[in-house]
Amino acid sequence: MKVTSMVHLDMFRRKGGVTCLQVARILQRYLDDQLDEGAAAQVASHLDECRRCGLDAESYREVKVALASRARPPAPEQMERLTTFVSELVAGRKP
Amino acid sequence: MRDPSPLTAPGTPPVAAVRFDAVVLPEIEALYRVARSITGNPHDAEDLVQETLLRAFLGMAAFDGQHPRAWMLTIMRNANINSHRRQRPVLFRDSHDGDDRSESRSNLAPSAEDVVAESWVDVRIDAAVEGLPLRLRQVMELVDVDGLTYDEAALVLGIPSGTVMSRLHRARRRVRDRLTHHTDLGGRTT
Repeated sequence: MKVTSMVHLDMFRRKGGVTCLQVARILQRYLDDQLDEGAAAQVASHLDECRRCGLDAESYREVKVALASRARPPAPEQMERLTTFVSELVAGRKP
Repeated sequence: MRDPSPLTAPGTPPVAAVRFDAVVLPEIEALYRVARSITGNPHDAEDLVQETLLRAFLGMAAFDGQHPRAWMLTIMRNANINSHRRQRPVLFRDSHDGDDRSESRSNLAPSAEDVVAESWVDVRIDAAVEGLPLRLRQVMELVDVDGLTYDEAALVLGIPSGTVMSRLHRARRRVRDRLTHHTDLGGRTT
């Protein structure tokens, strides 16, 4: 089956008060907590009921978790140097 | 002898200095993460954060007290633009120019714990991200890796927030599709 026809059919599937196409359009904002409470609840309900959209969301969540694990916070000694730098600014010893 | 002000009593820092301390310390880690993405190495990142902190301290009087992270990210962006670095910041370099994120990973032998902890997604995701066009990789680094909001990433890149969002969504779709093209997200190769 062609992807385009799947999308077309999805426009008429309505679970949780919204269609698959509507969810697809706002899924990323939902995953980033950028939707208001009402819209987020509708998406959450749809994801619970629609297996395909639920799996889609889950795959994006896994990508987000994997990306977040790439973050490189400062090493403890760097953090200490930067904190000391701030203290010296506050104390008037820099610049 | 002058009467000391309640705010500048001996041994007590001036109120502006106290505010500065309270405002910037919670943001240092986030600033460093972004600086690390921009510069590509820990030494330059630390320098950039220090430069940002200094500029923020000097400009504290003009700060309205709202959104300290956004205020400091704007300062960092300007500090980075104004600095005369020999190399283009890594975040603004094309992936084919090389990125020390991938180099550092390949140069460091992983410990046994690393090997166990790093899932297949972590291994493949590096390649998927490196393969993105620069404009998509930038927003993904800032939002998904460094943890900035759309608006904060927009400040760093100097582009509208809506553009950040659309680029981020395209980036995620490409990375996800690239991963799922080779294997499903349960870890089974297809």
